[in-house]
Amino acid sequence: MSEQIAFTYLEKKNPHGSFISGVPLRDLTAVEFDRLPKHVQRSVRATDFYKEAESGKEEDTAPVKPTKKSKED
Amino acid sequence: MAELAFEYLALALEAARGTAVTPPTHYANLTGWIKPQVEMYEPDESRGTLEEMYRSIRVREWGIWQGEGAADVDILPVFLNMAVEGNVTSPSTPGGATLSRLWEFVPNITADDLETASLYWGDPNVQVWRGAFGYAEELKITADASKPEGVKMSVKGMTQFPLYMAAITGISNAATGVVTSPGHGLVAGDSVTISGVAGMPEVNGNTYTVGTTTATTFQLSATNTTGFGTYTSGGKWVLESPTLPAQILGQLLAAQNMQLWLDTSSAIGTTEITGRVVSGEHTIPTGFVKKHIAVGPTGGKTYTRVGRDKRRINTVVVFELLDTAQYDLFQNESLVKMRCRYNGPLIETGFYYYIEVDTYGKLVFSDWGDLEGVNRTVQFEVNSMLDTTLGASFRVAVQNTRATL
Repeated sequence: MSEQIAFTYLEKKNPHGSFISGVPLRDLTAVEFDRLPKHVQRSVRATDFYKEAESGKEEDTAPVKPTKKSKED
Repeated sequence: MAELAFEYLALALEAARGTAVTPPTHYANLTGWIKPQVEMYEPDESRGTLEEMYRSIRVREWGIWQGEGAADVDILPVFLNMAVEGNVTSPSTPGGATLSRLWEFVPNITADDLETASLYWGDPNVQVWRGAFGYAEELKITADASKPEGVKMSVKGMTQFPLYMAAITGISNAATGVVTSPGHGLVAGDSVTISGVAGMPEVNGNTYTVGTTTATTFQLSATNTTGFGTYTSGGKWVLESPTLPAQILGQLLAAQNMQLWLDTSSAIGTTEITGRVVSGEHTIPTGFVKKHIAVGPTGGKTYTRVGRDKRRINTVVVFELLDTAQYDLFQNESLVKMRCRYNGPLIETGFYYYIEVDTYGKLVFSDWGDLEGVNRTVQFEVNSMLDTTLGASFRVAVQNTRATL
């Protein structure tokens, strides 16, 4: 069953391995993002190594928990 | 005080002292807190009863803050901008290095350039407080190779009275609603939740972003209150937890990896003392003093200015007394140049993460001690004195991999 990716993790924009507590360093599904506390959601939106996906788009074959990080060229 | 799971201490250096900054840019990576402090005027009165106190008034208010924990090579440069030298925003690249970056801090002895910070503390699920105009009173770095510990740091200071809420005395009906709240202390970008307003119930329970501010008002950014009810009375705003920055797992430094050089006539860092160094401790005062001055009937009771007093750092080192080599430096009243380097993991060949403190002055005998109850140790202090080559009495350096604070 596919799940919508809400935020794409941009590894190249995170050379020092920074993190937001409680948020995995990989793509985030919409379900995962919605479960985060509001102040943590704000941090995800504000940081430059997560990019919000376009709304309304579903990934037909995306795994529930991606094993491979998406990379932006 | 207990360390609770969801509490955090975060900060942002202020571009202008006393002008709060939001959101915070760094986690302090320390256990710490901000505490409100007040001073009351409680006059003695003779009213012919056993009752001691009849009246009081709050005359001063401020905050105290502190943080302590592992010495963190990534966050320490932020605190060194507050405690040693300000406006250090970029490192140099040591010769031969690719990844390593050296942050150097030499006190400016002819101008006051130390920076202040806006500090944030609390549990975002309950309440977060902001202490603006926060200054460091003292920064301390310690390492003891005789104990199974890492290199540690602590920092403490003052802030303006911690902010989290205030009363509302008016809200306009306008294309961009304006809230009247004397002495609010908010800045553009803050998030506030409003409650208890009568006459304009549309605002109650909602969270707004603060826009343009004056001393007594703030805009509700992108909020048209034209069609709202007319404010009549009451209400308050509460500060919401700011957007928090990403964190980094900084490198930890083991106390046993420290090095020490002690020179008299040769350049600092020439003569390494090996096989006998036990511990090092550096206490760096800033000389900051808060000033409470008259501000008129609408002013608050917190401090609005700070001053700086003279300062010198205190370095304490402990040597195992294998001979009198170091004791003779004290005996002969020699001017010493002492370099203590607290090393961490390797960054690249020839370069390690480290914190380095140079202290210039004379050794002063402090105490005898013992190492594991077997060998005699001697403790010396150095209270820093001006070195004309350096142009100051001490220097602090941090080597990490960061190109920015």
